[in-house]
Amino acid sequence: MKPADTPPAGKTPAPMDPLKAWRDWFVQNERQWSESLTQILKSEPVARTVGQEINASLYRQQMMTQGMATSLQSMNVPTRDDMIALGERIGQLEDAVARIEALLVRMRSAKEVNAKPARTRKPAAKARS
Amino acid sequence: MTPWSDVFASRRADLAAVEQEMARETATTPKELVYARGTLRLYRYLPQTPDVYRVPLLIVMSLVSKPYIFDLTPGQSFVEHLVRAGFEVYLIDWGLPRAEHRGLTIDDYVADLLPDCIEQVRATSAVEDVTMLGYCLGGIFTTLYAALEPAGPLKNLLLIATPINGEGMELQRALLTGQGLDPDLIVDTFGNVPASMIEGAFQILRPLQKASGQLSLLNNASDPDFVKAHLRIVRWGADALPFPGEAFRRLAHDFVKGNKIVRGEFEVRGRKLKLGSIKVPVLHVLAEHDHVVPAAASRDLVRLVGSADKDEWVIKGGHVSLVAGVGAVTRTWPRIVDWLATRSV
Repeated sequence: MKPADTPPAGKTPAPMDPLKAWRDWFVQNERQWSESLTQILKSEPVARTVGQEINASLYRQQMMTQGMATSLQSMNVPTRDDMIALGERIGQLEDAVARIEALLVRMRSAKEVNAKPARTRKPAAKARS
Repeated sequence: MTPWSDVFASRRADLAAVEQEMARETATTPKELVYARGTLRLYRYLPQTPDVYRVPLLIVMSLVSKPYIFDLTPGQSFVEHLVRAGFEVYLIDWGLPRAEHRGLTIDDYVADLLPDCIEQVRATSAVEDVTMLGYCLGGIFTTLYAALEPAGPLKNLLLIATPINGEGMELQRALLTGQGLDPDLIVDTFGNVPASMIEGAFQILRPLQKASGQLSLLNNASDPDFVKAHLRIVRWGADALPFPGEAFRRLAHDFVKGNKIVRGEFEVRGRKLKLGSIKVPVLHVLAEHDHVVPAAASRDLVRLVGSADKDEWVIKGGHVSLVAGVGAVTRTWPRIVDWLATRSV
């Protein structure tokens, strides 16, 4: 055992944890395994299949959203589109508030011209190259 | 014996407390909003030194990632580092695009919104020239702007992990070419590309990283600093933004599939842009193990620009470790500050 691993006096060493060892092993090898997986994904047939599956899932999602919208409307429950529209209106309000805030900041800084720091800073000698 | 439900409830409460604490500690460098247009926000970070370098620095973020990665937490904030080193720092936050922004094009970003922000920086700082720092997709925008306006107010161009060669984006290219993923279908179906698809795209680039992160978190659960540092990055990675539809369509076709930037055939406002027309000092910082922007996608940039003063640094680590983490704080940022300082007077 290395000196650094010696437990403090009066304490017994932590028991070997096989799950922790497995997790460490996984973490250490993950990059290599991920690279191997992406190499497989890059191959033309696999990439085409994955791409087509994503395309198909887009269609499925679109159809489900449209199907759900009718059911939700009949139950008088807001649909996903209703929630998005609400979010958009809140976003527009945020934009308006931001424009006002920026205007106020500019009005204030116009009055504080002298409070700005001088633009005279020079690089430290070691940085000159 | 404590019931399992109590144990889980206690863990959930602990995690919620950590998340609240992280939210309070994120993006705390003092700043003011100097310009807003649509969802775009232009922030100015308040100088913290008695004097500043003459040339202001404008950070241009990616469209699909939130900019707080640059101001992660005190002591691990690139913006804070720059401000304390004496730079006047501005940052463009593109914001959360809505359905009405699906028509925003690359031309809008490069030839309208970006020049507009540069004019705002010039007006606010009362300085003619501006240094730009582009990260990832923001780097593409700043590079295209520099090629579009070679006689413009750009003083220096600092790029971090900027993809320029579509053929180097091998996985994205494999998915988008042939009979696979159809970018037009995505845009026509959703308008903007949903954030969930962006997150999925990042995950597919390194499929086991999430599992590895969770196991690593388990192994270090007793170390609160590790847990917080880990969760900060995980939180940012899962906080992707939707991609405005037409901009995505154009990049998918003309950059990833057509590789037109490298070929000098990428058009903005009807002009084919040549990277060789960029003459300002250029520094490109990239990561050795970047799985998002592989070296094959980014390494041509410095070779192609026409600047006499140009350099490329390859840093050990991954995509995020360029702008966050111990290596960035102790090695990368001080080097960047040195590079910028001599060119910002």
